[in-house]
Amino acid sequence: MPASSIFPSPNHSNRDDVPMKCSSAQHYTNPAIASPSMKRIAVALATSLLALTSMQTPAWSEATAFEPLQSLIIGTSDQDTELQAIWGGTLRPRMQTLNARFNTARGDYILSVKKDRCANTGNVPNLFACPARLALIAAGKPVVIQDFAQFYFSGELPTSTTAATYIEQSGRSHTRVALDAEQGALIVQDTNNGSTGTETLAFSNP
Amino acid sequence: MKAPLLALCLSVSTVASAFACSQHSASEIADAIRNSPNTNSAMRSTSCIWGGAAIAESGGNSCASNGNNFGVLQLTRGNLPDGMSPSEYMALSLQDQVNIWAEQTTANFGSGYQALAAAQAGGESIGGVQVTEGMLAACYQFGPVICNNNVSALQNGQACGGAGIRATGGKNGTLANGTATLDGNGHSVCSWGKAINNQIASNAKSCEECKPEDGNSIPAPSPAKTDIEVDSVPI
Repeated sequence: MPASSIFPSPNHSNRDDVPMKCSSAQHYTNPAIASPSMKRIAVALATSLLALTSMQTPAWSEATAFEPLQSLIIGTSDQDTELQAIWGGTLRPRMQTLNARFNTARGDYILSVKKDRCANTGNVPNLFACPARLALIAAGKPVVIQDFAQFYFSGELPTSTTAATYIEQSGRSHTRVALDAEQGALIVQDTNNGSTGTETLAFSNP
Repeated sequence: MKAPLLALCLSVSTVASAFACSQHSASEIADAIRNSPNTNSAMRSTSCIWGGAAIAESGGNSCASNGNNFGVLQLTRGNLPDGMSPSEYMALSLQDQVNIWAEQTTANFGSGYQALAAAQAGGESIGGVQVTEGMLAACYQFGPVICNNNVSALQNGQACGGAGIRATGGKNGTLANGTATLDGNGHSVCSWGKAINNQIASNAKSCEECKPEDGNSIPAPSPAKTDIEVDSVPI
């Protein structure tokens, strides 16, 4: 899929006009990331990426709604009915999940990463390869879209039971995702040790 | 002066008990592998491999850490149990550490591991390289990407480390794009396997392991627990 197809056309001046948007009011999102300054940074970053990755992209484009993988508070993942439904009721108490939610015309897409039985990552710090699931919740019913046996993401995970959320502690290791429901594309922007890369994962809608 | 001294002793004692580190031999670690309810018969039958691997990885210190991996068998941060901090994990007993490690690391059984295990069990070589027990353990500890690539390189008559691509993170990193052939420290399963093999050999006299009852010496992954049938793809 061309990189340009995941971004709105240049005449979209308001993020709320973007056909696919993340519902920032949802508890999976991090309000700090949705601040105006962060939006500007995201716009600049995405614009730079566009220039680098596609000759067909317009000279200027608004950022796709990248959202950070947000950790649900340890101890409550198992109590979240939507997450439990997505994972077939297998979330244990205190299990950590990292999630991003996207509100679209088709329904709410949720990418959920489960910190459980992750693969080893060759001594690379702050890099994880864990099971992930993309699901669509429409009319209150979750439908599994795609499983990823080893979903690579970066972050500085909580190091104690009191650290409730996934925090971009240094800014050098974090992962953000965007989703284009119509194109069936999950865009993963991962920064590990200050190095950023983006990958588009295709999926089929039900 | 006695009261402050007593308080100091008590506080030191409290800290010591909260972060109680312990030192273990390869034989003790092998015992813990055999006694774990989370290891299968094949892994128990090769317990001395893991005892040697643990000495190479951690020196047998329950508090060993490089910031991303912890304990005697260097459990990666992503596999720490729900709500458990690295400090809490490292303060566990040897048996508890091994139990968690065995339960949480089954994703490291990949096609490369299976190929190495089959060759090692048959005393065979791959691409002219004799497969050792140490290579098996290194494969498991590095994870499937590096191990699979190392085995592929050997099968294609190349050096074990292939193109010598070191593991890096991020979406433009060599693990995510599947090209990594060396771990973050520059080791292949062959080079790190030698280090583990040295530990296995030097502890061989004191480490006795059971032989498999079913003749199967290839540790197999546990069945995946899922109730929704969907395609699963590594990325």
